[in-house]
Amino acid sequence: MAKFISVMICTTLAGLLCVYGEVEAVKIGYEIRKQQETKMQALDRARALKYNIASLKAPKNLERRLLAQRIVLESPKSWQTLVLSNGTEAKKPGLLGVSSNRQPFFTRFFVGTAQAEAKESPNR
Amino acid sequence: MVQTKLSKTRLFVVFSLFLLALFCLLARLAFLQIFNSSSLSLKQQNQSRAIIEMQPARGRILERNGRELALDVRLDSLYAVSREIKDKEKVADKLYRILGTNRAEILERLNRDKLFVWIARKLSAAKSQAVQRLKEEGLGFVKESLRMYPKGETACHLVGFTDVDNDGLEGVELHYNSFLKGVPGWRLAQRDAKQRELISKEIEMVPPVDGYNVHLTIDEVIQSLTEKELAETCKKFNAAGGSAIVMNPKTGDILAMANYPLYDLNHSKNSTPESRRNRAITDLFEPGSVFKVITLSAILENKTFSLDEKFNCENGSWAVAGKVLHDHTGHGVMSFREIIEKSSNIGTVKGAMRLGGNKLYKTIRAFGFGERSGIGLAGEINGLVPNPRTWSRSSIINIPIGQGVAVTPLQLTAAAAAIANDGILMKPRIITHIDDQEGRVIKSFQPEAVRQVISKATSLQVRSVLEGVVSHGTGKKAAVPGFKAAGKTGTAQKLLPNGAYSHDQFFASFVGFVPYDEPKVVVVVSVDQPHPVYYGGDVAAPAFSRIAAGILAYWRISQNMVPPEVVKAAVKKPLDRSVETKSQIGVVGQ
Repeated sequence: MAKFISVMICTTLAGLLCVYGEVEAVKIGYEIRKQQETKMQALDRARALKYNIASLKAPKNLERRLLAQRIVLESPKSWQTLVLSNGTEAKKPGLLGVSSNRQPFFTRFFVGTAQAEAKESPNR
Repeated sequence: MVQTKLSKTRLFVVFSLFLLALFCLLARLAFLQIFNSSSLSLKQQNQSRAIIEMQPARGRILERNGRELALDVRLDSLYAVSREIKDKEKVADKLYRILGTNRAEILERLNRDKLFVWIARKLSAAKSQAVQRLKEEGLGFVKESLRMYPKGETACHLVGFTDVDNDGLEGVELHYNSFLKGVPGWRLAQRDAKQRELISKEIEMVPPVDGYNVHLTIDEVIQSLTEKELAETCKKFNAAGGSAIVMNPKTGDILAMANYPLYDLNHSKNSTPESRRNRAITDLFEPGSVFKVITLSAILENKTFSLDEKFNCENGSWAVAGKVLHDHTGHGVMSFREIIEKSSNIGTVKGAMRLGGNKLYKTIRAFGFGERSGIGLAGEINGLVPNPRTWSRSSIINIPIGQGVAVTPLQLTAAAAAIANDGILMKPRIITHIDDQEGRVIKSFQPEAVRQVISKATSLQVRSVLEGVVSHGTGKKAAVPGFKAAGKTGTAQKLLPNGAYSHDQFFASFVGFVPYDEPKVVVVVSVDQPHPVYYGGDVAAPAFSRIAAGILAYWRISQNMVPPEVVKAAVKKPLDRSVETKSQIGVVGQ
């Protein structure tokens, strides 16, 4: 009788363990699905942000915004460029690589490229 | 006794009934298990199992520096289960306020007695969130991919666009659709009573294969610059259209391929077929005087005569082969170098007659005219170069000056690039490579030399003549400040439908490269029907100058010429202290 009872208890416990395992697996499955959805949402958001960044960086958009702010960027005119006649090479980078002629730190943010300068349009 | 008998009878009846019921149950069970088991288990599987399709992400299209020109964005599409919506009027009102579409149409969709009705597809994130906040029963979302073009109009003719199912319809999107599209996957999964997917019970899965990324040779900055200059030129001269190509002569890489008019890739439905045409490869035109470069190359390559050979240009009018040939200004005796620099038709034809039709034809074909360049874009056409066997008496007068032949702007660019590349014709390349999402290269497109068209010595001679065209010939407006440019102008009369040449419709073009001694970039600009000004030297040459100057500034290629006014300024003005060192080259501030 005792043997029968212990077998029954063991079988019941094993059954409960099995059911518990199944329930836990389903619960974890739900959790994984939730996490996957979150991940997908984050990836979608990342894609949308990438699109926004690429769109904002598009030269045409930048130009449009600069025009809206009445800022005109242009290459230096020939009279603004000085080439000395002893035939030596320009210091890198390019024509503007003059280390002693560097602009103040904050001013640099208002200049588009090393070869361009910002100026207000005359019709302002 | 009687009562006992009755009880037994009752017991028997009750027992029999139970037994019968049990038998019925067993019979039913046996029936279900034996005869109906397959159909019932199928029914159960249909209810609990689902095949879920997994859409691949379409590959991106990127320019040479990795900036995205086309990418996929996943957006929410709103659907309704109309049977679950109680107050449809109220829901329609709310949706109308958020979506801003027709209220009656929303209501009509909600009133359909269906399990699934689309309300709005591919909503913006803000609208989707606003609808989600409503927390209305019977409304749901499905994620759908939307092809987006962050640069809008930039390289629109080259990139192309897709339809609502993400299949390519134009440009690279169409030609490389098989690489970009990817392969959809699927999974067979078990669902619970609430139709939630049970990952632990996943039965089978075939993952999707995302589309490959296509890397183009174009540079976004150069493309934008070229498009801007072309558009400004076309607007300024009231042109019907135009195209401009920028090519690296050493590799054949197309750095920009611009056409006018442009259209926004994100709103391609609003564009006309006319504006969607990639004129650079689909449109033929008679090149006119720019074709004299080919005639010159043929003469020099065949050593027919030297550049110093003199020809009488008949003061601008010459009757030959039953026709009168004119120059735009009268010239007397000139060397062949001057003939090309001044773009004399009479001198060029006289030179070509000395060369002979067969040799000219061979050189024209060697430069790649009359056949597709093999750039790998949909819609490219061959061009038209008649065989000498079919030439008429006047062909030797027309063809050397670019009449009676039809070319595409791309063919012209490739030919000019061959001259700039020591006579080696390179196959135009628009794609560098195709790779997968992990960056593994699937297919690579290497620069490909087609053939040596002319010798290096000939190409150097041609380049020196073309430099003269820009410095003191018809192409003065193509001069690039600080550099020596070379090129040739072209003004061709357009052919009318009756076969005659028009006197008020022209095709203005300029073919050139810079710097002339070591060409870095070849630029071809062609403008269709400019007016009232129509000369290539006035319309296309200035655009060439601005495009080339912009590219050289962008690449930071230092100027190899000292502008004379700068030397004067340096003599007059005292230098800024910071640029006093003689070895430095700098910029004097305003």
